[in-house]
Amino acid sequence: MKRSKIETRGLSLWFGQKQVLDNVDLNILENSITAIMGPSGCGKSTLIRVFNRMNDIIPDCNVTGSVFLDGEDVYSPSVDVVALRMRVGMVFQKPNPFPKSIYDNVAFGLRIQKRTSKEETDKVVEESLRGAALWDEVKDRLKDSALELSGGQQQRLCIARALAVKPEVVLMDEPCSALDPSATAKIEALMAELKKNYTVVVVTHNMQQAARVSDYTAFLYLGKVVEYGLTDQIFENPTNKLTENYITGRFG
Amino acid sequence: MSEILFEMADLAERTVSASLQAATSGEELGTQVRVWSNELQGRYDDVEEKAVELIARYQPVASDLRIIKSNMKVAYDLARLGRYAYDIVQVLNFINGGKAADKAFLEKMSQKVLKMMRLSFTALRIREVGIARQLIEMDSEVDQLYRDYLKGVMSNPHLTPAEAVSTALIARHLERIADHAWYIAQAVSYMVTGTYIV
Repeated sequence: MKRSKIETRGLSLWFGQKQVLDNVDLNILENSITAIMGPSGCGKSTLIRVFNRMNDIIPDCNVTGSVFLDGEDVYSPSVDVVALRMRVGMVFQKPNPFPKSIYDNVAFGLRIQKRTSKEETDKVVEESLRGAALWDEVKDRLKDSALELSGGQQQRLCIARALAVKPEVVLMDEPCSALDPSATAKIEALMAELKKNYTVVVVTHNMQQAARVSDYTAFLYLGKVVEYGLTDQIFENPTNKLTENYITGRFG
Repeated sequence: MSEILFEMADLAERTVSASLQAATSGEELGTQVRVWSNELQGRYDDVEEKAVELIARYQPVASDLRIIKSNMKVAYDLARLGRYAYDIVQVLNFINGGKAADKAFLEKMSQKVLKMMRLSFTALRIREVGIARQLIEMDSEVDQLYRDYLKGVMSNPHLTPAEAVSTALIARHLERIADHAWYIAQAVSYMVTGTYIV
């Protein structure tokens, strides 16, 4: 029986007067891949940014309800947001490596944590690049600029960068939408590996991807969770008519 | 895909009816039944091909996926109906031209089985879920008729081998036709609701 890793209760969010999330109750289980899908503007990206408080940097953002990571409220005043963002890492839609070497990209987070021992940094960089299925392709050119890598390699570098600070959760916001099918396939295979050690939440527009990679799927519409359950069940026999209409392409 | 299935259902009905007519009235319909049974098998292959094409092109999910899955099952069941009809005429050819078979008993069993078959085709055409429940009871009655006949064969020393064997074999094929009629109605239930009625 999998444990709950992230749980939201009555989560609502406003940007100014505009309500973007409406009473979201969700239970993300550890060591699983949860896909969040829904039409454009339904609140998917906003939802996952609640998990690592990335929405804090947006002015006029108000959150009500609760968000728990391992049973602790992430919006509690005592929470160190920087530490939270190391536990809950994020990979974005467009690969965004720093304009540095491959090595320095991965090592960057460690150096901020003040882990400066060369041996330890080397070890973590290799582990993280292996964890992102990129080590074999870059091990002989770690000093090269990250910007010389292909799109798919850059995205795996961003995943390695997130893994270097030893997160527990990896959030992915449409990680493959800027990638070609071959690179997408590599990232999807990587997700299956990642879930052995991390909890993965992936926002995706691509329903076939959600069906391929995820264990659980949440369907969001106008800021509400319409349906949430095992991916097999959602894609074979959804309970809600709205879910059925969305995934069969009748709207969205 | 549905259109192919409706054509197959019409053809299956003709094929089974013809085989039962041959069994109960002695009419020579073996060649026709064989041709139709082969045609049903060919149509089943068409449905399979279509299903694979739809899956490859469109990656269907939810009700679309269940329709394709159910249609494949139903096409198989309809092809089997044709095969059992052919098996019935084979029995007639093989054993004394079917003259020895117990026609009154086969007539009684045929009526029930044809009714089941027609109900299942109605379920398919109008996607009616309730028919599956009706067919559960009818299938039990057909099973009972078959079992009772077999028990009767064991305890009746006056039956000739030709009568016992030909009647029992045809009854067996009828019993399987009834089963497949029920499977078709079940597939319709799954197509519409995502669950099987048991």
